[in-house]
Amino acid sequence: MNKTFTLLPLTLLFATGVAFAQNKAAPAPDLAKTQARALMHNKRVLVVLSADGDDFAKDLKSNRELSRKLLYEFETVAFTGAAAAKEWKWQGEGSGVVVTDAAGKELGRFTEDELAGKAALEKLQPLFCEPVSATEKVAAAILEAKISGRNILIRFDAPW
Amino acid sequence: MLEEFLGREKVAPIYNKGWVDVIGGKALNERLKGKRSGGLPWSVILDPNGKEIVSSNAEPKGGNIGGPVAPEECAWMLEMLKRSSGTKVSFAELKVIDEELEIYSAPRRRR
Repeated sequence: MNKTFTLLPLTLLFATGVAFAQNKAAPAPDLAKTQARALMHNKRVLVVLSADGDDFAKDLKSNRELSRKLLYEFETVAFTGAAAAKEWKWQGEGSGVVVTDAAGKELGRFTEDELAGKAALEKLQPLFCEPVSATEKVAAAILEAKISGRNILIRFDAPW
Repeated sequence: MLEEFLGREKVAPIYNKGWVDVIGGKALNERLKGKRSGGLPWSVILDPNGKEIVSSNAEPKGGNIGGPVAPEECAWMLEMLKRSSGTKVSFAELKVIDEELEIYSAPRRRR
């Protein structure tokens, strides 16, 4: 049999597999975008640092005490591996989080063990943003809507 | 994210022409959503007097469409915009939003 003919499907299969793997790769976390969203939504930034082979962000999301609060209070950005840990001066063993404000100022850091179960909310709650006045916000929107003849769309976002 | 969709090149100019964009927070969410079902994302459209026109709790059953992905969720999102578009946004512009919503949501549907 013609070798070229035999190898072609295998080559294509391999190339397709590589392309598929590349397409499936998670996009690089974008800290600047996360901080911009945090500023816009009056939230903190939760920098999740996972040790190699660990997905601490997933663990946090599956924490029932915490998952809803995470959506309301934090914009999350997740990094994995030693390079990220070094960059964030993470000296704890294993995974953990660094909480910053939208400008990047560090507010606290916690290890995986410190954020286990109900303790997670107790640790993170003091770092939540002060709420914006709902009355003032609606009043400003109403004024703008009256002047411009538009209606008002109020949205409470979360990852789609 | 709804934010990402509303910020799309073709969508943003139409959206900004028809609606004042407000990002809600906890206090607003509690005040406006009350006990209606569903988590986040949630959205509501008010008239210039602050009276609710429509929310993301789709009629008649009242389930929150969240970030619209399924065809029926996208249809309700468009309905929300239709009901509140007033005189600022044309039918043709709503059609653009409809098409953009399909382009944005279709890849997010489960196959």
